[in-house]
Amino acid sequence: MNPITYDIRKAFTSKGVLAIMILIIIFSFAIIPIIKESTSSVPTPPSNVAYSVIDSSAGFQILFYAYNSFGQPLSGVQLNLTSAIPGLFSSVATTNSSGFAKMFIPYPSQQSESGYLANLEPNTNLFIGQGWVIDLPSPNTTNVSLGEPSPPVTIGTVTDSRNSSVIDSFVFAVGPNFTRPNDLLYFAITPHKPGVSSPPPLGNMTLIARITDYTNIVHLPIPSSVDPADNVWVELTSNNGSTLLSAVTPAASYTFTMQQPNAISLTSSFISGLLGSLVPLMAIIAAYSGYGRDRVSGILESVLVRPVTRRGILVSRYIAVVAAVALATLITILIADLLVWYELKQTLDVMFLLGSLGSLFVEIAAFVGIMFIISQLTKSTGALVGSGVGLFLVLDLLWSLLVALAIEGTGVGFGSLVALHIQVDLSFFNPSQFISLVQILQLKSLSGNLIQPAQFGVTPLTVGIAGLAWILIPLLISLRLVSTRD
Amino acid sequence: MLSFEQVTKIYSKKIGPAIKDVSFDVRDGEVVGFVGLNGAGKTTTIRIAAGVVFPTAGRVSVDGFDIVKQKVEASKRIGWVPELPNFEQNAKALDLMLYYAGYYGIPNDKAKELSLKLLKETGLEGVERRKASSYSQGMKKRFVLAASMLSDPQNFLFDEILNGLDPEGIHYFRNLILKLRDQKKAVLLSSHILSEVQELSDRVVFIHKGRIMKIMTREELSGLEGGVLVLKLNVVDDRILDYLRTIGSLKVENDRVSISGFKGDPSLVNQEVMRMGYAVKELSYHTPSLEEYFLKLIGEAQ
Repeated sequence: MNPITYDIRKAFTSKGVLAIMILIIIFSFAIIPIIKESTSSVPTPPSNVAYSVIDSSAGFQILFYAYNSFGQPLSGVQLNLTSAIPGLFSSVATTNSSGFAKMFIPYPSQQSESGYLANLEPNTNLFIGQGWVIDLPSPNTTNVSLGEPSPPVTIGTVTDSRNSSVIDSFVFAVGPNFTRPNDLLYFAITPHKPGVSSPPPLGNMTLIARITDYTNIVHLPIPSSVDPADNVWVELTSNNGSTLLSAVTPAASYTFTMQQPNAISLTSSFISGLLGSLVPLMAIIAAYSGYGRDRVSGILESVLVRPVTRRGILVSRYIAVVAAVALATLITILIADLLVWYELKQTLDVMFLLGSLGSLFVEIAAFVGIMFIISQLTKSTGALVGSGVGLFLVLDLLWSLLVALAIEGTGVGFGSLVALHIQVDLSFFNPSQFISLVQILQLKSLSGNLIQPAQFGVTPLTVGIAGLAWILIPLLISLRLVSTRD
Repeated sequence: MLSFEQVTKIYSKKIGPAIKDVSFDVRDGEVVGFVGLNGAGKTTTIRIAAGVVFPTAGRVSVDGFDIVKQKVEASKRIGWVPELPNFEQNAKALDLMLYYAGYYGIPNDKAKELSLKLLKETGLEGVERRKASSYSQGMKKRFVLAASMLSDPQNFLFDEILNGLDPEGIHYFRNLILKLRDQKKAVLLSSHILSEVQELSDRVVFIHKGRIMKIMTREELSGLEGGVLVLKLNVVDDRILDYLRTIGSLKVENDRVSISGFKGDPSLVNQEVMRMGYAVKELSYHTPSLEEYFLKLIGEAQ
C-alpha cells in the first residue's frame, strides 16, 4: 500500500475530522432553513452611483461615479445603460481606478419621453444598483444649454470614515463640459419640522463647505437628538449666488440603517464563516492525529526505522493531512450546497465556491504546517494538545475579539475606515483570515461596505503572496526542524 | 555488518553525554551481546543504529551505508525490535504490515502474501486482522519482529527483547537468534538476562556510563579469569600438591583440593593425576558467570 494513501485514509477517518464535518453539516441543516424564512427574496441594493449628463449636440455624454458607503471610488464597475423604450440605444462602460466612467449615447432615432432605464451592475455577483432611471435631457429643446451638466450636482449620504455612527453628506458636482466645479457654495440649515415646502432664505442657512472637486464628503452639524422625522434643507449655489440645487432631506437619512441582505448572499456568508472557523480546527485536529501525536509519543519511530528519511515522512504526512482535510472540506461544501439548492432553489456562486475552496486550502496548509512545527518543539502529548487548542483560540475563535481590542487600543471608532484598515492589515498575519482577504478581493466588500480592495492593500498580488507564504513558510520551518531535532 | 565509529550522543549539555566515543562492529554471522546497567547507553546506541535518533558525533554504518547520510539504503538493511514496541494501536496488524511494506516498495499483492507469511512465522496467525491494541506485550514484540523482517534485512537490533516474555516466548526468540546467526545475519542483542547473552553471543560488549569498557569473545570470557577445579583424591600429599600448584592457587580441605584460576582442560588434569598414580574420586569444574564477571567489571570501574 502506498504510505500516502494509508496516511490520507487515516487522517480522513480520524474521529476529530469526521466530527467537525458532521458538525458543519448539522449547523448547515439547522441554520439555512432559518435564513430562508428570515430574509427577503428581493435584493435591496444600495444606491451608490452618481451621474451627470450633458447634451453635446450629437448626443448625450454621461459621467458616472461609482462609490462605496464611505464615498470611496469603486473601480471595475460595469454600467449597462439601455433605453426604456426597447431598441433605441444601449451602451456599456466600466469605471476606472478613480471610480469614473464616461459614456456617449447618440441622439435616439425617435423622440423619447423623459426617462431611460439604466441597469447598473458591477462585475461581481453584488448589485450596486438596479432599475435606475436616468433622466436624459430632451434633445433640441430650448431649456437645455449645450455642455451644461444636468444635474450639475448629486447629493447622497455616506458613512463617516472615522466614525461609523456618523452619516455625512456626499456631493458629486461637475462644471460645464464635465470640468471640475468652480467654487460652489454648500449651505444647510438646522433641521426643522416638516411642512415647509420652499427652502428657507439663504441668509437663514449656514455655509457648510465650498465645493471645488467632483466628489466631496461634507459633515453636516446635525445634533444627535434630532427627530428623524424633521427635514434638513440644503442648498448649493454658484459663487455668484445663483441657486443650482435646493433639496430637502429627512433627518432619518443621516441615521444609519442596515440593509437586509438576500438569502443566498447571507447563506454564502454563513457557510464561508462557518467553514472559515471550523476548517482550521479540523486542520489542527488532523495534523495532531496524523502526525503530531505519533511524533511526540514515539509511534513515528516505527515508521522512521523504514527506508525513509525524516523529511520524507514529514512531507508524506503533510500531503496526506492537507489532502484529507481538503477532501473533507470539499465534501462538506458540496453537501451544504445541496442543502442550499434544496431550501432556496439556488446554488452557491461557482466563483464564490472556488474562491472559498482555494482560500480554505491555504488555511488548511498553514494550520497543518504550524501544527507540524509545534510537534517538533513539544515533548508531550499534553503540551501538543494545549498548543493546538491555544492556536485555535487565538488565531480563530477569539481573533475578532483581539482585533476589536487592537482597534480599541488605537482609539478609532469601530466600523470606521481606520478600523477597517486595521482589520484588513491584521488579516494578513493570520491564516484563518485568509478566506476574508479572498472574499474582500472577490466581493469588493468589507464588513458590509463596498470597497475598492486595492485601497486596503488587498490585491491579487498581495493575496497571492500571502497565500504562498502561509503554505510554504510553516512547511519549510518544520522541514528545517525535523532535520535538526530528535 | 554494523559498524559504530566514535559515536557520541548528547541529549542535554547539562547532563553530559549519554554515550561517548562508542566503537565496535557486529559482523555478519555474529551475535554480539550488549551488556550494561540501566542508563548505561545501550538503548541510545541501538536507537542511533536504527536511525531514529541522530548521533551528536561519530558514524554508524549499516553494510557500509551511513545511517544518517544514506538513511534510505541503510534502513533497508536493518531490522529493529525495541524493548517496548510502540506503533499505531488502532490499526489492524495486517494493515500496518501493508503500510510498512509500502516504504520498501513491495507491491500490494506480494506485500499481503509476505505479511501473512511473516505473521504466521512469528506466531500471529489468526490474529492478523485484530487491532494491535488488543495484543499482549509478547504479541506486540512478535508483531514488530515480523515487521522488521519485511525486507529480509542483513542486520538486526534486538533491544531487551527477552524482557516481559513468557518461557515460550524466550525460547522462541532464543531459537530465532540462533537461526539468524546460521543465516549469516549480524545481530546486536542487548539484554539484562546475562545468562541468555552468555549463551547466545559470540562476543559481548560491556558498556558503562556511556563508554565501552570491554569487548570480549565468549572464549575470552570463559578463560580470562579461569575457573575453579575441585578434585577429591584418595591421597593428598606433597607430590600431588606440587603438581597442582603449577595449574592454579590451591585450597586444601582434607581430601578435597580446590584449584582456582584454572585455565585449561579439566580432563587433561584428570589424566595426569591418574598417571601419577592417584585415584580421582570426584572432579568438578566451575567457570564464573557473565553476571559475576560483569559485576566485577562494574565494581572495578566504580
